[in-house]
Amino acid sequence: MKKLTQLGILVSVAVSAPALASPEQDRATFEKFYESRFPQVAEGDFINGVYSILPAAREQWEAIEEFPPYEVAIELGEEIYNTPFANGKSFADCFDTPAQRENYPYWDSERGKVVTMEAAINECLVENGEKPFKTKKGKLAEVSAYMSYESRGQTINVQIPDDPAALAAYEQGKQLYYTKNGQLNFACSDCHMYGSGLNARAETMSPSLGHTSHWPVYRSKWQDMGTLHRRFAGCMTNVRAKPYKALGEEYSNLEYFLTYMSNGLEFNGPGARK
Amino acid sequence: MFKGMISALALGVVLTATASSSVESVIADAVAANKQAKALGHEWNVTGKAIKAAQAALKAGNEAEAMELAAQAKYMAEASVYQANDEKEAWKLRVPR
Repeated sequence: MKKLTQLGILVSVAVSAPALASPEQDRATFEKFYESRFPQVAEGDFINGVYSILPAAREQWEAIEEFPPYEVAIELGEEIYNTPFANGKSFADCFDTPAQRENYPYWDSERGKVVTMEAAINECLVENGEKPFKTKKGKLAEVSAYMSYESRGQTINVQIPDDPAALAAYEQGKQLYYTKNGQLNFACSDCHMYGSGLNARAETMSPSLGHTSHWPVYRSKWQDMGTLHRRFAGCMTNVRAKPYKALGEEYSNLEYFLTYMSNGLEFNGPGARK
Repeated sequence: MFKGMISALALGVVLTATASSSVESVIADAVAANKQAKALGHEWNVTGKAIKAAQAALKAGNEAEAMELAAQAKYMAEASVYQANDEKEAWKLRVPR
């Protein structure tokens, strides 16, 4: 009986341990999962998403990248970035350089929330008496595209400070990633972890390692630029769940978790995808 | 004969009223469960549409169709609440080790 009880405790610990692992343990396991699943992918190449695992599609994508469809957005974003607000100030008064990706997302201890780069862009507008941009596309995606372009080559280095609230935000993002939702009963991990490399209808599902490196993205399906949160919302709609609010707590925490999982990889946005 | 007709008509009115209130009750259940799912972060994007379709069918006087749609909406709303509660622990099993 005693042995059975001990076995029960061991099983219980084994099952619950992953959820209680430290972020760094999570990250190492996450990375190892994809490296084992796709041993052919060169170190650091997961930032190229599904093209890191599909050589034929990669050739087409590289041809597209010669005349990238996001180029116009970068130019428009630069113009918006440098245009003074009504009070005479500009984004340059909020950011010391447009190359900001490496600083986001971060945990703001004073406000007790995760701040993404897109949220910071809108906060800059509000602080200067301007209306915030719409949260998924348009001007926000354009300014983000310019800033991401200026940030290319920076290393992802998300920090989770020694603050229980920061860890809780990370855990909420992690929980969201592994939680099934919608009528189709899918978690992000069902498609982009355990289904990565497999097909959903005609599309190959991309690996989550490196998922947050290349945003915003010009998607052929959208014929438009969109932010990472726009994509999150699209995924939720696909599984027939009601999407959360872009720039809201849920997606910001999910971005915090997912970007932390890609620590050590490079930012290479903006990107182009099907 | 006349009394019989009156009784039949009255019964018809009562049955129709009962059917309407029964559909309304199922719709109310669906709305309440969907609200609960939303609070849990698990609202499905098909449930609200089904509720609206049931309400529209009821308004148009198509009670049988309204009842079917309302039952579907209630099922979806309750399933999303079940999913939300089940996933409070189940997600942990998907974390790789």
